[in-house]
Amino acid sequence: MIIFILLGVLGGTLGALFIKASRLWATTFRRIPSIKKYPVLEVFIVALVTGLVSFWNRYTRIPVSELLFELASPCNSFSSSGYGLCPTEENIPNVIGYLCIAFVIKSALTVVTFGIKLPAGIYVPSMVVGGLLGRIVGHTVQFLTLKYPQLEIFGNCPANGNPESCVVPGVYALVAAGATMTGVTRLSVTLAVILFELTGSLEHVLPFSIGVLVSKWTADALEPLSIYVSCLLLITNPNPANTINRIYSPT
Amino acid sequence: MTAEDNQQKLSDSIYYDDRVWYDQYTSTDWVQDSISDAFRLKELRSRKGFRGRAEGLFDSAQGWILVALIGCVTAGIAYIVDVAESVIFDLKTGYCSHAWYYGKKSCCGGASTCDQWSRWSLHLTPGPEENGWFDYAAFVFWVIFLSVAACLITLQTKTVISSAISLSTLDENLAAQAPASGEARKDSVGSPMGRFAKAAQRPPMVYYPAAGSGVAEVKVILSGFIIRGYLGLRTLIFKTLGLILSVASGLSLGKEGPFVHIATCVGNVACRMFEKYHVNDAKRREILSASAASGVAVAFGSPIGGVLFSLEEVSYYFPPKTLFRTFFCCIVSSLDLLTPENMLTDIFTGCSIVSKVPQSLRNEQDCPFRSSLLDGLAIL
Repeated sequence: MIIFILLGVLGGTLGALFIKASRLWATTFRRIPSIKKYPVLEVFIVALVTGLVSFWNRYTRIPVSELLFELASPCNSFSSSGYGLCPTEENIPNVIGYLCIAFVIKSALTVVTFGIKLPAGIYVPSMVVGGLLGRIVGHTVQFLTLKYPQLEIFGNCPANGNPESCVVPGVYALVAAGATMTGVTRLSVTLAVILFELTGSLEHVLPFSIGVLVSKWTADALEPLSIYVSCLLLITNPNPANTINRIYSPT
Repeated sequence: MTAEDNQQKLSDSIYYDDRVWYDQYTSTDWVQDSISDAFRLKELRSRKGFRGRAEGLFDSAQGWILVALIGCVTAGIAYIVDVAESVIFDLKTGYCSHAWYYGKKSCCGGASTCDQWSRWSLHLTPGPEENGWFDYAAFVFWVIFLSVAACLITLQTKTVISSAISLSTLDENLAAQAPASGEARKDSVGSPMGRFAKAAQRPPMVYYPAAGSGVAEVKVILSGFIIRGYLGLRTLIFKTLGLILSVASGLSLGKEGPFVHIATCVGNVACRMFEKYHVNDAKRREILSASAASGVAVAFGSPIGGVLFSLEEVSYYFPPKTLFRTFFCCIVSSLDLLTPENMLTDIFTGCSIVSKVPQSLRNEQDCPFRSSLLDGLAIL
């Protein structure tokens, strides 16, 4: 339970940082005159970077929605080599390292991509970044429980060889995904509902809800505006021209 | 003057002037719109006879017809985007040698890789042995090609706003400078005409309706702001095409946000069918709330999530009647996503409404109702 609260805090922090980062990016890079004048140039640069960077890591190469499902899936079999998401105990550090690389790449690319002149949503990318984080935390906890099964805090975990017998990293991934998306968009009830409608399981309602709750509080403390409200403030800023328009409008 | 005279006068002034035309970037007059709708309804109810009653019935059915239609069309567009996007996405690594229109999965019959899937390096490498670098080059080329193509489509929707209206941005452009409040206060001191002249000197604002996710703008529109052309047919078409390419390019972006905008466009275009919604901007927003919800419902495959999204994020005016209609719209759009094979069983057993979610993600491997219900049917 404590770990889900922690995931909520992490997700909320990540979401708030994401908003700050994309604002910073928008006010520095996008103010460069040539970028401002030719949106295609910006798209070209971002696409070039994305192509160059994301080819080498399997998790950054596949589609975001597919990646999210993979991150959230439970395992049926476990492999001791490669970078699959179902490692045995000895292979867990490798996979964590690989996921960390994917996490760094994906978060950087998502910040850079937001606000580009393309039809582009932020929901699933933010969920994927959170899902990667959650999977990293999940595998770490899994590793610890497998390494020290006799510790008090892990309860009495049966050490019967199945790495998922007491920690399922997929659930951690989904909780963190929801928490991060909450941090970015500040949706709360909606996200909890979407998460369990997506998974079709009512068993995890409590972890999802706790993650979303904690994340919302954390994110609100760090950054009061959601990503959309920070866009909206630029639209609806009270300015004199608008009042003129109201005065002179024929209605 | 008696109260009745007063009311008559009010009705004359409002009802006969039936459509209120709003200027760009002003906001709707909710009170005026709701009064004029009330008068319209009163007039309709006062009609006698069978014909009058039938007209009244048709009038109240319009909203339901409209949201059902919006649900179907939204689900259709989402389906097209999904299919097209997944095929084009796989084009980055190679193509299907026997049927070019197949993605990797359908080409290989579900396996992750196979011989029929010919990677670009097979064709581009000059020597007999494959060279992985050509795969890399082809990948980078396709990412750039697809995203630049998507960007060019997006730029087709360029809209220029005359400088008399000063807004910083209408798409998700955090780089736009907010009008400085100090300057604003100084401006408002001068005479109105002086301010107008000053405003006209500012450079015109350019924005692209198809860029970004559009959720923020939908939120603004639903709260009563007027942005002409933002929800038009043109935006709908360009946004859908651009979305297919931009998602297929593999940049770190999602299609769920734009689905909300696309669904709202569908709603807005569909509203033109019925005069009741076409001429009344406040009534129109009730339908737009429902269509925004159906966008989320098809994107995430969660009808209730869609309703809550509309309630929590975008809608401004959300009475229980709209809530129920929104719910209906979401259910219709989710029903449309059933594949023909499992439609019958799903309707009878009432589970796994959304076929998009892979079974592995679901906790239960099979629908719990299905087996028990089928058993029940077998006993009968």
